[in-house]
Amino acid sequence: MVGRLTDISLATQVAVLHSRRAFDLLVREYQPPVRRFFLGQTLGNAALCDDLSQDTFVKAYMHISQYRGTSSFLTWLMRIAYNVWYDHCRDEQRRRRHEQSTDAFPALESMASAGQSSTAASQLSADIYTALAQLKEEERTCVTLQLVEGYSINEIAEMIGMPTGTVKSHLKRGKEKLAVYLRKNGYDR
Amino acid sequence: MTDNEMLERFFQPMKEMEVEDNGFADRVMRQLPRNNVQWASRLWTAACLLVAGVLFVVLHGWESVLCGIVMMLNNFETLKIHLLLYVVTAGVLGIMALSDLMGRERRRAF
Repeated sequence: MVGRLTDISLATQVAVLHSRRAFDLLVREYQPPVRRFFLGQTLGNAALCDDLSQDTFVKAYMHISQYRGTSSFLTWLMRIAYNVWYDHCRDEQRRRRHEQSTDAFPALESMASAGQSSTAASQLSADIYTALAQLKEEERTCVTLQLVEGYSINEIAEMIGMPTGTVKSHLKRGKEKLAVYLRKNGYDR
Repeated sequence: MTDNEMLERFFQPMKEMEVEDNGFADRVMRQLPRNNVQWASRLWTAACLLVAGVLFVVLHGWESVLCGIVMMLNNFETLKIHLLLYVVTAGVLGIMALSDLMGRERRRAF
């Protein structure tokens, strides 16, 4: 496990010495939580998830000198990931308005059809994304960061740049919607 | 079962999901912009080494090196310095250099 001091050391090597080897270590260490975050937001669209994850790490590399070490490297990285996701959503909305498309979640359809002919594990995975699709984007972000990645409310607020009160509201509403959906579909047994 | 317990159980597979690298890190590294300063620095180092190598050959540098070694060996008797001291010093420096090199290789592999 790469500790906080090692993160700062590696980030410094990247910023000062432009060490690609140091950045490679950071990428390998933190690619799982970043990609898991995007899998949750894109509802299982692996290709889009990888594109957004790569954008996140490229942005992190180009702005590495802005990492001050006041928070953990992962928190800083997830803030970039959230901004990448926010920009992607905004661009998608503009594109849909321009094309007047009614297809809100194309990834959901592909995941749903993939889930029908796969193993129990992928079926459950498809159910997770179907459940997450019930939520608004901010609710989905807060819920996945808390329930999947285990971040506290303060950490989530810092990552997504919202007040803790707003994060708590999104979490409350998101969890209520999920609970209703899960009980309706028999997950409480 | 409470709502929180139900949600925790529902998302447990996603929490435990292993995200294999599958070449992801390599794709990221390929997308990184090239650092012009680093390339210029490497080019300058290579140029200096080339010039040093050419001058070493043109100016018969090996003759100076051989003279130095011969003088050092002659000094053993003149200064009454035991040859063993030179060997031990060279050995210690060699072990330190090897240890540093192995440490770098281990960090590179990690």
